[in-house]
Amino acid sequence: MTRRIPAPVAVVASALSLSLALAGSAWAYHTNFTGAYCNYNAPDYTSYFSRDGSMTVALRARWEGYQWGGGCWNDDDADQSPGDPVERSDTRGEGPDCSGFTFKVWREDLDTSNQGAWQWNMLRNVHGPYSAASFLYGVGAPNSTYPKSGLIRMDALASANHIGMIYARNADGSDQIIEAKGEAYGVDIWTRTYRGSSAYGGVRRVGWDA
Amino acid sequence: METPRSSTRARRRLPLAAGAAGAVVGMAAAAVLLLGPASGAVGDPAVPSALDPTRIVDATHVPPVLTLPGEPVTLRYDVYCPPPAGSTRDECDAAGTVYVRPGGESPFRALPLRLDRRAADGRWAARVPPDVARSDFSYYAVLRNRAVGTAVTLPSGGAAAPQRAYAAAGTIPVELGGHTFGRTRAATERAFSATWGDGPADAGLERGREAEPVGPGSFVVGADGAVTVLDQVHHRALVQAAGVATVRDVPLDINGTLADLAGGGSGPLWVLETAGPDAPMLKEFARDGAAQGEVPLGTRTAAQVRIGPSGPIVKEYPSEQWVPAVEDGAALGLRAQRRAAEPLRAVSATRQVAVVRVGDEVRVALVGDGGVERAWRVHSATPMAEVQLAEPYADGVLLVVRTYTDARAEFEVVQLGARGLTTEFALATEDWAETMPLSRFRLAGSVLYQLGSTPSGVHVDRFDLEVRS
Repeated sequence: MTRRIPAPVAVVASALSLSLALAGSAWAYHTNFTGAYCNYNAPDYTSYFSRDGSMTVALRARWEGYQWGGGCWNDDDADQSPGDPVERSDTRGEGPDCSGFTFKVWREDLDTSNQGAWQWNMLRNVHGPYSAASFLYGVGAPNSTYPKSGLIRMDALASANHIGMIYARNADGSDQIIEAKGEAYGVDIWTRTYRGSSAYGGVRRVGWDA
Repeated sequence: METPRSSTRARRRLPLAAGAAGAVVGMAAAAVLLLGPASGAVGDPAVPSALDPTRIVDATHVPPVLTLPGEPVTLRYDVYCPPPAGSTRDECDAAGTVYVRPGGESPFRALPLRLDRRAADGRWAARVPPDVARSDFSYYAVLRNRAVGTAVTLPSGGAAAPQRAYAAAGTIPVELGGHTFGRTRAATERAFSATWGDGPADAGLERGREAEPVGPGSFVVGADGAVTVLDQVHHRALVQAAGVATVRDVPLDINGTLADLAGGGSGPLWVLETAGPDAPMLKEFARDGAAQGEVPLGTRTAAQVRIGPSGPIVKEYPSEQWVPAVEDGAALGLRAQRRAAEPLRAVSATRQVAVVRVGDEVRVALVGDGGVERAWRVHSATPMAEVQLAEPYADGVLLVVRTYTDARAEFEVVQLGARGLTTEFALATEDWAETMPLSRFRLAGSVLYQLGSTPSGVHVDRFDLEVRS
């Protein structure tokens, strides 16, 4: 059912759509994924959480989209909001950004003083309170800085602008990183050399049961 | 994951509206914004429901590559899949078997993987029997999600293209000691430079909030010294001939994300697309940029493309194998790729290079048809990260490895010869912008080239390894 649009709203909408069309029609790519499919349900507290379990959470986001400031995705292995204008949280596209992805995969609490673990449904639209920079500096009770040479799978490497989690180590000393890389990249596993880069520091989620 | 996306899923895209259609969709979008998501307005995508999570099964493994005489060898794997329904734990209920054999011809022997709960990495493990581990051996693993019976074979070629570990007797020890930062060698010459921008000779920079800057992903150097830089942001290559100040551009039909580059010179350019719906994908271009063909790669992750004896080869994960994508001009299908995968990178028809970082040392070897010909163990008191380059050079190998602390990093260039360390020097990382992870260096003859960047632009510096008279 299509809701009838009140006249004043229609005028504003027409003006907005015209200006957007003239400005290159950025909204032509707007899919309103989060509005149509995501929810704000409460997460489930979990008394046991492992690195393996978080890997599975992360893998379900693989091949989904990237949304700056976002944190909601399905698991159909496709970006439902390709080509969204970048760096706009109001495009309501599918997927997390790098810090929102880490927050959800690490199953953290919105309360930064709480180390507890919460299972967020993938369609729960939540970004969490941390930026990449705040992860880098170990902000929040669940997060701590950690020497890079000692990082293992499901630890993270963060810079002031980006964060990715270690998926596996490679024989040549590089790492496979699972990350939300950007609008054109989405979420996936790539080989990266963040560990040796002086722009990146080590971050560890505390409290793993295994 | 070993099982690639189906081609239909991989290629599914939402239709892109443009031009006049943009106004219509724009209005619909505006209505959605103003009325809220409950409006059910035009433009809602048809989203399929979530897929069955039990399909997820992935495994990772770090191959030993080079083993030492008497060294215990344990093959370790991590397996990821959803926990069984009703489980109070959240790990995969996994099991697996490793099949090992001495050398490359004898029958495989099955070794059950056992869960090592104390291990941080590689929690499913099997010790290789000493009588097998004392020589070269090959192996593959089958890992299962016991809850639903799905399985993954690693490497995916299984018995037809197993992983292989090489016994390195008589390794030459090389001690680098602790690294002293700040003593880096200056370049012999700047072979290429471009400022960031969108002009004809500028290099494209991808950046934004919550993203590190991404610059040109890779480069190659021709036999004549011409440098070709992959300016993927602008969908082109930038070419600068040796001794010429001007840069010419070659348009390429690529998707604009981080990609690797190989070939060039008198042959075609090969671009490895690593991101996007169709990735990983290898694309061939003529010297003028004309598209020649595409080769889909049936792997989870691909990181490097290089030119092997018969055509381009791609480093793939999680197998950690080099996979030929094209042989003698013909593209290989996914099954043929899996069956032709090799554990080491071929540098000629009869020689391969093996490299592995093990803790605080890097093991390097030249491997021929008869096994390891010469091997080195390079130890550093300062942590080493990735090996950027390992190429045959003179009577040994030229190695470039990143050395780092939590605050600093440099590249260490190490020339290894028959007697051990021949020369070493350090280079500044010059890594302001991200590139493909393992494509910052190229060796052409006796010249080492480095792809670097600063906040003002990108460059390729040359470092002559031999003094010219």
